[in-house]
Amino acid sequence: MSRPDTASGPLAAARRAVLATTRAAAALAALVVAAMVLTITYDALARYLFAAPTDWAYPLNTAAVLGATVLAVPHLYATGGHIALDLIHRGMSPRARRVADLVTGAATALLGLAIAVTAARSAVLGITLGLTGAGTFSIPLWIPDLVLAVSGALLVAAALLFPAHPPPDGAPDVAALPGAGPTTDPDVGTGTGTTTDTLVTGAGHDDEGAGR
Amino acid sequence: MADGLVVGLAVALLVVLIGLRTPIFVALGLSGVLGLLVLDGWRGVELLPLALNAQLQEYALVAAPLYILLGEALAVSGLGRDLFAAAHRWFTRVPGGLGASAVASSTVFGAMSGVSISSVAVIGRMAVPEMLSRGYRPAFASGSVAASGALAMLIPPSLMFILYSSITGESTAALFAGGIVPGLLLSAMMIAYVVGRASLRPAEAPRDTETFSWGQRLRALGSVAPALGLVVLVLGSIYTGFATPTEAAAVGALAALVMTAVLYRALGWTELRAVLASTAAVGASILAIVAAAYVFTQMLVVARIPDTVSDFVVGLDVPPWVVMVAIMLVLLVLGCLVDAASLLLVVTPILEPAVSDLGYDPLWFGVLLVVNLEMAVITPPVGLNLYTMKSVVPELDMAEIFRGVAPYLLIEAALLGLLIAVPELATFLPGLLI
Amino acid sequence: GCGAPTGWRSPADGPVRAATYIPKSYDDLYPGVEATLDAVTRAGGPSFDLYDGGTLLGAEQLLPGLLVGAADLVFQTSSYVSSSFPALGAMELPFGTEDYARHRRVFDPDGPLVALVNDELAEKDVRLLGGMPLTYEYLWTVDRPIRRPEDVAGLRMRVAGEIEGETVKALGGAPVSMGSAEVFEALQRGTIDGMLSYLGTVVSRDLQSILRYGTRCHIGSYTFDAYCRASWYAALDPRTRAALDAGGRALYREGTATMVAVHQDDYLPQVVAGGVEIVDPTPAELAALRAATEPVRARWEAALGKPAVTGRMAEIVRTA
Ligand code: NA
Ligand code: NA
Repeated sequence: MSRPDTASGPLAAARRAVLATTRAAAALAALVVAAMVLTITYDALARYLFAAPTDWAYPLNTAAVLGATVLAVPHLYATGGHIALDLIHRGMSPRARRVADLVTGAATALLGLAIAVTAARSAVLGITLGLTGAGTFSIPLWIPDLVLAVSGALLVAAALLFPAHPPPDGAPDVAALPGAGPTTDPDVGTGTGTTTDTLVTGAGHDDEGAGR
Repeated sequence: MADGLVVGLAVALLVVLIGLRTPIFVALGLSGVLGLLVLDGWRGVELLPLALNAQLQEYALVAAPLYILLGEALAVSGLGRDLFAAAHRWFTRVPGGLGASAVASSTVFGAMSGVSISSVAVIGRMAVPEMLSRGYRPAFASGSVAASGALAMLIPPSLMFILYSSITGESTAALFAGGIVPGLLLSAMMIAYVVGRASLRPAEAPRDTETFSWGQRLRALGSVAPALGLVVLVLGSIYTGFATPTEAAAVGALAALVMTAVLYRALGWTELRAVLASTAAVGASILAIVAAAYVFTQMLVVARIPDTVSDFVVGLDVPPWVVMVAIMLVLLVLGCLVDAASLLLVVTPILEPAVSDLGYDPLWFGVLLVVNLEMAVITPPVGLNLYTMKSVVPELDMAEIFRGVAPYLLIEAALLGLLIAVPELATFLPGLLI
Repeated sequence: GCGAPTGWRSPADGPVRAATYIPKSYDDLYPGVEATLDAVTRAGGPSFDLYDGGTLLGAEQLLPGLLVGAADLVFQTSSYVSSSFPALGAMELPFGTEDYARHRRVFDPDGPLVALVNDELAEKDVRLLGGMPLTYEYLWTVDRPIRRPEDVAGLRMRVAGEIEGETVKALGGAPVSMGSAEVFEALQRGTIDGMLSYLGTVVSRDLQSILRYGTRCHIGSYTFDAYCRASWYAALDPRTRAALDAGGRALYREGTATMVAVHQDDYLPQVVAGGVEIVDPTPAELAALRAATEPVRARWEAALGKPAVTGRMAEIVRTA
């Protein structure tokens, strides 16, 4: 399997397009986290210093967790960054592994499809009936539903276009992971983006990082 | 098809998918959705967006990405190195001093980070090569780090307590307070073990010949003072009532970023971008499991599994503590096979009603559950900390790592027994502070 | 059309699925849920498969869950529904009736107000079978009692619904949204200064040990209601419809009677025993509070956007 960003042809073009989209969504997720930090700090200060809490910080940040999560999920799949267990897989024959990976791709596409369809239906219902959350600052319910639907659709695309595991030449490289930080000092990095031959966890192999 | 059979097939599908290296969130989500479809037809599938919205828009979870960000910011700062250096200067005269230093640094780092693997990686990267170069046995060296890294889950802030709060509605602040005494106790027990073992078998951990002056020790302490200040800021603002755990997380993350930029001069735009990107990646990889586990749980709810388990457990004609010990044993076995977050997320909705019906405090049960997770992350075959250890110090042999953590399982089992016998160890502080 | 009823079931397919976020421990509201389901079954209607305590659908998911067919009957507090469907606000307005006996009469499921509400809800495919008009809300505070609008100025008050939020704003306070699990600590730490709620919220979270004052007046009210889909109801045979209506009546009659008795004989004494001073404003103070909250009605009328309907509702409330 060739790397998506160097090959040519329609499949490679589709991969590049999907990867660019999932990366943009993941970058948006990172910005959402930054916005959470700033708005919650602002709300706390406004409440303490001016006894003027915002009515938007609570509902927006509650919705932000959903946004930050589901926007990053397709990119993590495309770049092999999800938590998965490799115990049995690595003991399999190459042929059995290919079958296993096809099953994983199909399972992921099916889940993404179920999310996309049900969330889209829910979003349409929310728009038609004007459903909103309760409270003084109510977010229309179709907004989180739409984000879910988009994430589900991107997950389908990633599952169909990308292999179920990171390509061999994008394989475990702790230093290149987000979370290892940009530094070359091996003492100065975190292992939250750890990849081993036994366990794939927590961070992408997209060495450009998600934060651009 | 009988509901029990459907649930059994869904669990089987879950296990098969996980075995095929399907991402855990996909395995949980798809087996949940298919179970719902068979149990309940299309209206079961309609629960999918409702469940994802309900679980991910739970206010208790807002703190999760913020504490991850706090840990990620500190991880790029070089603080881990300073912490270990400081601990080394203070423990140098003690048998197994470097091992004790590793546990002590993990304890302090655990008070800033909510995730155990980041603690293992940050401390392990420095401490283990240092110990190996001084003649420590690999099992002794890696065991102390892989086991004590899990303290980050028990000592607040803790992602696991945040997840438990999001499922049960128990207060995050109270759960954090409940983890303090057991966490410090576990840390002390680990240090006592390291020192005791090094005294009895000096060949496993040669005595340190280095000596440090009191001036050096105090200067080392000074270099970690800002970090200790951050711990005081975060936990202090929660327990003095200045801030909620969520607000403390946001302010703490901001402070950690400022500290990394200003004091450690390790944060430019590139680094900031990388820290945010890895926070989003780590957060999403965990919260995707959180959301998918809830979908799976909804399938169990539709099949009335939590009610059935609760009725069964309450109907048992044995003393409650026997039930509790049995639950701990089941969790130990499951902990070998499942990752910590999935274990917590799937068993809490099933067991918490039963435990409450038995008359136990759900807060206390949450602390017990997290001590179980301390064991789960270091039991093979599925033990996140073990493989994190291997990945940061690749020359270690997996068998050495397994052997090194085995004694810590006994220490953690002893703590569990202590907590069952003396529940006040977990409940006293929350009662006092909250 | 949208949200096609592919998953909807008729009672002939088996027990009707009911859901509520109320757990069994709410002994003011839960008996109403049980009374409703019993009455339907007794009247020859379907049996029920009830998921309580938010296990199937949490408070925020009950209405969307009902609309997509994940449940066929939901028991829900009106504040979660009225932000989407303002018609219900007629019962929630501050100083709407000022006399609980009249307030209670207004909500008779066979009366004109519920008929009017159902006309409005039908456009959204929702039907109100019946509900319990909860006893009036209180303004609860920790540091100082509220007697006049000026006393609310600058206070951070926890609210659960849109109309409550407008009421707090109209009084000069800052409404704060938060989950009920967080209210205790928030009060203790001074994250909030007080809250607007009915008695059940206080007792279920043990807030009487931290609250100091409760101002008693018609500052607001919710109803606790049984809802189904209007199209689902319309497609049922007349006998089943009548049985469901009997359930709605049981919720209104038996449920309300139990709730009022529990509030008077159990909850209010518990709150007072917990150290909360009940504050009864003087007629002059009441007039000032009523005048200050007058803009809330205008906001509600604008939200519904049908002057003829809101006028008719106000008339029904006045003359009940
Ligand atoms: Na921690
Ligand atoms: Na394990």
